[in-house]
Amino acid sequence: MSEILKLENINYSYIDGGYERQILKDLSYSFDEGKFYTILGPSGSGKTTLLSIIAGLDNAKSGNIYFKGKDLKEIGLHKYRRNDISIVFQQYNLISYLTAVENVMLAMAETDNDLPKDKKTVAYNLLERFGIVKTKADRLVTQLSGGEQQRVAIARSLASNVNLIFADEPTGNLDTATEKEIIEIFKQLAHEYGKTIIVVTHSDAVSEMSDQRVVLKDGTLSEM
Amino acid sequence: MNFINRAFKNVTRKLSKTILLTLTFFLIGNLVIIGLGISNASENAKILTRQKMRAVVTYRLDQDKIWQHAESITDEDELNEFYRNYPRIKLEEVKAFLDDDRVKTANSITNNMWYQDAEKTLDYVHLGNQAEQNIDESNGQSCWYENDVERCETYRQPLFFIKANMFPNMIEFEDGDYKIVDGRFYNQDEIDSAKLVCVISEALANTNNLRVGDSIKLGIANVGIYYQEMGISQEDVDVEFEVVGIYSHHNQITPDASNYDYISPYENPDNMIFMPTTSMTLANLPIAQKEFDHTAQEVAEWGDENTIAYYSDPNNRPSESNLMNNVYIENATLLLTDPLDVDKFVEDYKDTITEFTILDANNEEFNRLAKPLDTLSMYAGFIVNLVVINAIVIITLVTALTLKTREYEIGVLLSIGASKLKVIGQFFVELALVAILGFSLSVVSGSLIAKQIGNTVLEYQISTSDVTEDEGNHYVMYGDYYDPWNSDYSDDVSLEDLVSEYEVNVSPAIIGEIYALGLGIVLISVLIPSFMIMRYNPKKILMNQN
Repeated sequence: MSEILKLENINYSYIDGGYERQILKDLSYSFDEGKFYTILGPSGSGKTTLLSIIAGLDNAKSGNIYFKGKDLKEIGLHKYRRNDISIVFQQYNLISYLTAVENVMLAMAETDNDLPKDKKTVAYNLLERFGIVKTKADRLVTQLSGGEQQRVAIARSLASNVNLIFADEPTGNLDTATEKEIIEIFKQLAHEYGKTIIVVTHSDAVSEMSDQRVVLKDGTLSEM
Repeated sequence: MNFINRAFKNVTRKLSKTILLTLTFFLIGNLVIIGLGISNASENAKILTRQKMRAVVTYRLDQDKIWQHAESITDEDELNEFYRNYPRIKLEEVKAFLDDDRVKTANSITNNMWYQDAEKTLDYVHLGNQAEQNIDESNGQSCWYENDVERCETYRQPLFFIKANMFPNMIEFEDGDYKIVDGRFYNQDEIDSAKLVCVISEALANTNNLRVGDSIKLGIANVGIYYQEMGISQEDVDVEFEVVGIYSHHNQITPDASNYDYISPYENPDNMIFMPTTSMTLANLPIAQKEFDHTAQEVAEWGDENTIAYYSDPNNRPSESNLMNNVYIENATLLLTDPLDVDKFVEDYKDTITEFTILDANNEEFNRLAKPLDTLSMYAGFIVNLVVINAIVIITLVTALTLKTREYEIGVLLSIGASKLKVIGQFFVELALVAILGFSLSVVSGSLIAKQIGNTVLEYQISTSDVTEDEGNHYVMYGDYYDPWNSDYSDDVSLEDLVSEYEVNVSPAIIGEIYALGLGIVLISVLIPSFMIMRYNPKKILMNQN
């Protein structure tokens, strides 16, 4: 399997109460294509910070991140977010005044990636793949259940045809049965569609089902 | 799903917010329409009234300024020098005005009353009124004793009114009150060469069986004792003019005119004869020369050195060669093509005209009467500005507060790679759509309300202002009383004229202005929230929710 994301000597710190708090310390790690990763770690270990840095939402203090061998500084964070990755959040972060299908189409409108012309049909198909039938796809997302909303969020993450998907506690608001369904979807995406899934989670159930469990401790990542 | 589409969906699906904002824009729109409607009606009333007035600018000596200057001179010699070189209107300057595209023509009129020649070859057009009977009775000789010697002089009534101009296109003919029906008006060459030509009325031509190309003989002065003493004879004053044109006019005098019985022949517009000022001056040349020679003889006996020197200099003697120097222009009335150019024209030249002269737009009375409209327009404009400023503040606050509730949406859009400019664009389009909706509704209601309020406010404004019409300032040029001497070409204006043109209408221009203003309000209102959006960090928004 080829390397999709490489972290090299990543450092991150912030000032807290007058003292510098080091969160990530010379962190280096490589993520391969087509694998489902979970990042574990105790509260406050810096999981979310790490995710925001590798998802292009924030800059590391030092170090380099390479996407498919290219430095993120070269690609540009904005372009990286638009064309190369997508993020699934615990709160789903769907836009409330749009329908499920419109939320999915949102990501398609922004990316520069090649997409089929009939975007709406693609969006319906994506949603249907995750169990959201057309009648539900045309509803405002506020009228869907939590699990359905998370499926819409995952469908949106796939809509822009990216290979790297990040998820921050994606099952945190879901019941066990739905959590299992979502994890199955992630596995399916990694193994059948060759996507790289990197999930930050507290949940053992989720991490146990991943291909690779990685622990963030003392500012560095280590495999379990 | 581009940002415009998103904005449209936000507006149509977040109905409670849309309704509240629409209501806000609706109220703002109504106030703005009322303000703009009243302001425009006031301005339009002024413009329409001004357009109906003759577009004339008078170029004349500024007697007040001359008087003030003379008063300020304490040295007698200096004062005498000032009076010797008394300011004059320069012909070249008037000609320069004519080169301005805005000027149609100019009148620089010299009026005169002339007589029949000795043989009475030219009959005047008769009205058959009382004044004409008196002429027949009073013409003749008048005699008196001076040092026990009887002296007599012939006394005659002037019968013809001479209107001489320095320019070939007269305002009267440009306006259409007078029209050439045969031949032509005198031209610039004839003015420059002081050719003895004239233009007579159709009635005068018919009375004397005259045609274009014929000649008429006029007595340019009454040869009384004073003239006789100077050696001026009847031959000197009888001058022949060629008729180059025949005119018709609209100033017929009818027996129901209030002063009909007292109208002298020269006051009858049919007895008016047009000619170049230079021709009039040339006709006067023999008289002027003899007057000069006579005075020269007299001053030789009692005059001071300077006066004797002046009259001894042959260059100062009136002659054909220095004719143009002796043409005196009292003032010039410029006729402009567009009445609305008058103020701008005066403004353009006021600093470059010769000292002690003035360009008068003849709009003092108009400006005085228009004061209530100006006040109304000023208050309306003030209201519009106040409303717009308040609208900007309110909409900015609403938008800024809305941003807080839509933070996560902005975070999501930024996380999927939407640019901040597109996010700002979405907010702008959302507000613009609501503004268009609110303003469109206000156009309907505002036009109804504006009319009502506009009329009420004007009535109140007129009743509380102290504007009254200046009865003494009415110059009647044409109408019941015809005054041939009148050279005031400016039109009268009344408060009723202005008020009759005042109509509050929400015109397409106002509607366009309202939409432009609305978009302006939206644009400015989005500015501050835009700065907030530019500072948004998607990490802070999205990662802190968990």
